[in-house]
Amino acid sequence: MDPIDTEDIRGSLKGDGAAYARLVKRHQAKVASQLWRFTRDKAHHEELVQDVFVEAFFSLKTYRGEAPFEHWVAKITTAVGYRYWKNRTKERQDPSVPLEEWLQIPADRVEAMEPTEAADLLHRLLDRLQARDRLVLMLRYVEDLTVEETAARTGWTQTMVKVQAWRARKKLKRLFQEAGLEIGQ
Amino acid sequence: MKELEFLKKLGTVAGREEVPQLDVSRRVLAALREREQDSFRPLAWVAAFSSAVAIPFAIAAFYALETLTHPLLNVFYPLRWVML
Repeated sequence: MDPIDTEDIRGSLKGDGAAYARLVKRHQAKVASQLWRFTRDKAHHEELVQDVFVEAFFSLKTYRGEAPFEHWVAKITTAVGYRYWKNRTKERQDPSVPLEEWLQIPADRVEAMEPTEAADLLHRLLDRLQARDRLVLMLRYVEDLTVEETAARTGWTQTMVKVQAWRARKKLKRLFQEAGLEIGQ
Repeated sequence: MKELEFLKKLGTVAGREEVPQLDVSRRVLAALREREQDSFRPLAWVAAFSSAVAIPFAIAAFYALETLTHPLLNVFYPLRWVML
């Protein structure tokens, strides 16, 4: 573990606000980058980043230093993002953007797309799935994590990750079929 | 599975997007302070309630102690009023 992190964690546990602020400043860019996959709304995004560090502070006593602090925070980030998706699914009245609108882009054109355009499309595509399916697809195939890493990040068992990924893949395929999109054409 | 390849490609391109720059350190510390104050609020109510209950008992205890230490006081005290 990074000795600077260790020192600031010790300081934070003793109530040193400046030490925790330093910890936040060092890790917030990474957390923000991870959470940008969960929401593209800037206000919500900032709020979620804040929530991660507030939760991390209250759980700091449980951090044993066995894994880097960054990995430990990544787990909290995933939990916060996942909770946000679940709550949003409950609140959402009309989740559907017409499929035809965003599936006009041929698969072979993806690499020529602008990053913002691709991110927006990815977000809207996954937005049509349930939070659990969306999470496993994002971690396994977008962030390219292994089954083991996905299990560590989500707190699920490896078997659960495999089963969930299989289900999510099926749903994704169905989603494309319903839209009448032939990938690779 | 072609859908997954599409998803991966999309993810790769999307990963090049610039993430909004932010600094939440001040807001985090403010939120922590606020939560800390909130966590003391129930304790303040318990303390206030305990005090409210304790005051009558303290007064009763004081009179009981007076009676025990000066048993004749109860006899002479009303007499003092009569003498006045």
